[in-house]
Amino acid sequence: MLSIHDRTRKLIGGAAAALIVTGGFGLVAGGALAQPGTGVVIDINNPQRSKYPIAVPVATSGDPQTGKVIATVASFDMKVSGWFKPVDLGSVAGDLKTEGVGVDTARWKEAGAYGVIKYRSEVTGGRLTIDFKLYEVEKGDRAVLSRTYRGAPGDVRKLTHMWCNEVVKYFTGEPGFFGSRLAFSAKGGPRTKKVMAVDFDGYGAYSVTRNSSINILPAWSPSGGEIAFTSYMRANPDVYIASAGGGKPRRVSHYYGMNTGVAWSPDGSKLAVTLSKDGQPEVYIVSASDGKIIRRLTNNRAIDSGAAWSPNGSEIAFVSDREGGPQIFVMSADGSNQRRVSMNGSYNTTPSWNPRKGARQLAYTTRDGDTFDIVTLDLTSGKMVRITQNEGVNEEPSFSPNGRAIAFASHRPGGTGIYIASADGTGDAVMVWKGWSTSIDWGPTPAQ
Amino acid sequence: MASANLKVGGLVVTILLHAGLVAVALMHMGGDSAADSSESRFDSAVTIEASLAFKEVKPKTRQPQKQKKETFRPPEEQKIDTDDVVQPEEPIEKPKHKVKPKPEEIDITKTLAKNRAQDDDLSSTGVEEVPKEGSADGSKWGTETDAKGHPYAAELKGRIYSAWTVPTLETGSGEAQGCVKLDEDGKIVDRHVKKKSGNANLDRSVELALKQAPDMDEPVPDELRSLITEKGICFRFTIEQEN
Repeated sequence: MLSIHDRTRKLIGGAAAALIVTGGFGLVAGGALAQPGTGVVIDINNPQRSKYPIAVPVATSGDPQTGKVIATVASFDMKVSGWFKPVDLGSVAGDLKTEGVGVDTARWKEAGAYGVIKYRSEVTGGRLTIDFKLYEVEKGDRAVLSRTYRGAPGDVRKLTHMWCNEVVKYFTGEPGFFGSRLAFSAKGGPRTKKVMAVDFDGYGAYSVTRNSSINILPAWSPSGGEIAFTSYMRANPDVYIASAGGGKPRRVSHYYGMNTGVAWSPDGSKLAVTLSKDGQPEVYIVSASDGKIIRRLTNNRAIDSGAAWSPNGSEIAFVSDREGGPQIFVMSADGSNQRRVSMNGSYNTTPSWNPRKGARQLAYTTRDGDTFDIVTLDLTSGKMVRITQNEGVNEEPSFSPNGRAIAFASHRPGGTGIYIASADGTGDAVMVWKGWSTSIDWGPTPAQ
Repeated sequence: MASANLKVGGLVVTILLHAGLVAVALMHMGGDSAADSSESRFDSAVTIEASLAFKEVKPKTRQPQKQKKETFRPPEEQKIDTDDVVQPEEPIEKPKHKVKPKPEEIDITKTLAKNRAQDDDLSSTGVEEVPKEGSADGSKWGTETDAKGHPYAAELKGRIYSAWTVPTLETGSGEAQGCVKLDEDGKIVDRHVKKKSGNANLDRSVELALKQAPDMDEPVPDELRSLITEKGICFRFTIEQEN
């Protein structure tokens, strides 16, 4: 094994070597580093990509408890956004009190940060006010983004989510999904299941349904104001719609046989549902207001179910076993052009369409050996990305409102519950809800 | 009550046969494990329906694999400025003695001409033990292009590259230059961004790359000492617009 020195002596040669060895001669004066436009320059390109290191230190003034909540919420939002990674604050030197809501850029550069979020909160007259500031340390000590939010003291999480959406939008041009909610089905009492909703980060859970029956397969309306679901409250599996906050549901689809598997059209006026009124489960379009059948989309001797509407409303993905096992199919919204799109494995179900504008990407559950995992499929390029692997059983994915993350139900050594993972397949999934849950559906981000 | 139970029972059968998700929910009524319910989701339906409308589709034998954590990929290509190169016009005589010259006595032009001639000679004879790519050039980062340069510099480049990451959210373009100086033992002792791009994320990434690049394992070779320990060696970091 030759040392570098040995190899240097042996291999020195070639035009490039001439450059490296001679090119710097006479180009630098006074022992300083080479001056612009002269000297040896070696090209480096195609960098590795990473998440944006951002620091969210706890405020050193104001109510300590509120300050801690803000930092915790903002750090979590940044972490699960798919774009950022929180900077380890243990590496930050010195006393941050001297900074206030400003930044000492040298300190944060030393800590490896690209960006820093600072804030100041106070409660006056029963009203909470939070001043947020975003800094890019490379751009100096002037904030690149500032916002002030006001609300009730209990709104601290909500206001922090709003700020984090602004931060994501500042960097990427698209808002984050913070403040959105997940709907899912959980165990209720004996032999019952209930539809629940919870903030995407696992806070503020509540029950949407209050009956003592089986309530499953919730689906948020595009506005986020309502949730459709399947319930056995009148013995037959029918489709109901309730206010997202709860309340008495109205029955919209109650044909003979099963009425299930709801997907809202993007404009909220129609539902794609699975009906078995004629024997075989088929996908239909019904009115969201009264359940009246508008069109039957599938018609064959196989099972067709589990519809998912594309974000522009022109296509619908669904599950069919017409080729032997459950596979993902896509058709035009009028039922034409039905074709199989999942070509991996023999068992693929529960498609979710990426809601990002222009996206033609699905996430679905695939069986791999004796377990289930989440994959994504780009319908244009055919590229597949695996979201989970060797992490227990993972099922029923649902994209975040901006398409950058995926929530799914998981039963893994780390615990059974709802997890969120980056939709690009990088990083580790984060548990946001602990406990048995199924039929995950991620609702829209509330208007800012 | 009995008829109601019967109706529910009939529905259970229907659902098991016809809807995967509903089946999952019903299976969980009995407190089954999640894995068990998942297994049952479509299985029974498959068996029955397959007899009615079976069309064989050969699945792919291997499922897609989850991405590993970001791994280092060596640069595909290295470009080196050639503006100041003076090509020798006359063949250079071989040195008369084999005693290793002191660094200050190296005649760079002669040395390079000699080795260039050796390179040409190797090429002409097709010596196969010299690989076209890889580490035989003296750098584990290197490609054949790198091998045309100095392996020590190529190694240094690789170490800086290994520390260079740009945030995914940065989709713009830019070009920045950063320079380092090493001490004689190969330790990076001075670094600075010589030319900023104006792209904050790129400039920050270059600064961090220079800061975090690992030191060299071996001393600076004599023939590079002046350049690397006194004058410094610079790198041009380029990112291109992402669609």
